[in-house]
Amino acid sequence: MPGWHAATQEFEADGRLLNVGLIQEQHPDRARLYLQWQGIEWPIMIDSLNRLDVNVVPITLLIDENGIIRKRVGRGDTRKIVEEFLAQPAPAAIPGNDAVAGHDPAIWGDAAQRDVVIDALEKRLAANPDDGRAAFELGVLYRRRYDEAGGDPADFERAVARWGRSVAVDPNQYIWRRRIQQYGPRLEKPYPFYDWVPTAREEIRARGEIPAELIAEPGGAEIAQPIRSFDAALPANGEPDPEGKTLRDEAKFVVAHATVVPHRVRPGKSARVHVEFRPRGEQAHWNNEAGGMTLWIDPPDGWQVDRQRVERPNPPEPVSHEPRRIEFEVQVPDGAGSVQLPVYALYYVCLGEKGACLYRRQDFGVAVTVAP
Amino acid sequence: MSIRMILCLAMMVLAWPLMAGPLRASAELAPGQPFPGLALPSLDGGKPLSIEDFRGRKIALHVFASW
Repeated sequence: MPGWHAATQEFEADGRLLNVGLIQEQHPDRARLYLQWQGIEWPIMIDSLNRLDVNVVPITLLIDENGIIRKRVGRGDTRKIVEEFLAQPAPAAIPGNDAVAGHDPAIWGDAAQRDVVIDALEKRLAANPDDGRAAFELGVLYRRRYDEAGGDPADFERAVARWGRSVAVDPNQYIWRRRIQQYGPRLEKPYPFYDWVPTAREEIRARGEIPAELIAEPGGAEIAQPIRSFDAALPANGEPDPEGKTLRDEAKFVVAHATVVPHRVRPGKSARVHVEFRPRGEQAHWNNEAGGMTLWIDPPDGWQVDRQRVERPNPPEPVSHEPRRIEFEVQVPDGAGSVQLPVYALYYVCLGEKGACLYRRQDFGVAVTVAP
Repeated sequence: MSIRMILCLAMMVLAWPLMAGPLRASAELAPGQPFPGLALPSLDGGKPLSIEDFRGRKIALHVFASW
């Protein structure tokens, strides 16, 4: 888009051409930051549910005065293509293409209405499991709900499962596939997705502007670089609690939830595991003055992980309450079946204003569903 | 309840199927075809936009992603 912006600024300035953008991204606010960074002020339409049924990006269409598509632009000299288009005389006016109101309450603002839409879509999907569009839209809505403050981590898992269903129905719908790739393993990624965000913010601040705020900070899978072969960890550099002597978090002061992307992994392929830890209720919180969180993964024979021991440093404030996310990748051996991947976490959790701070261990299994 | 509120509620109920239903434009984005007249939310938070809002102008429409 920056190329187009530069090549067509002159035609925009004299009013002969209007550039309009249309985005399918899960997080439109990230496109807002991108456009601010690039200094692009086009009107932008948001289609996160992909109701226009776009199958690929980017696409540039030249559209005439009546809303008729005149050209789908391929490679070539942008300036020359635009000049040819601008030289075409305006066609005689034809009656309008009735605009269907599509302002989407399910995405924008109204949580109660969004839940009603989710419910209706779930019924549609239950009635027809091959309704890939219903599955995709559900994924978008669940992830949206997850990204809002206090979101239920199970919603992310639901989103991944529904997106998985949509792509199983239509493997060639690339906009649907991108949603899984955004959170999935590095081997399956076409590009990093959102690694440009820190640079954009830095350059916007250097211009004396305030970068547009983001609803959800991109991290982990969303900024990781793609790889071409699985990056297996060397044998462990020391299990943190080999004898299992650390007291268990029996009361579950911290709630752990794991989401595996994709939802079903093929033998021989890899998956990305997103583990989220939340202090339970108002009383429990993190103590950041003690050590950070440690995660230990013990893959079964033949399985590989990209990290076996993960250390998560603490934020600077002495206490905090945020959800903590740790991601790692797992490579499924050929011919393997589903497993419960044994994992444990070690952390300091505190109770109440002046309550005790405890060092605890929590063991859990990450269910990796393997299906050919 | 005022008449204005009743009218407003009635409009919301009538518009509901449009908002909740499987709205989509199935048309191919191919030369010679009208661009689908679906109104979509605007990134600037203003009123929804559709191709009809740009009628009478020559447009370059870019379907893109920030990644």
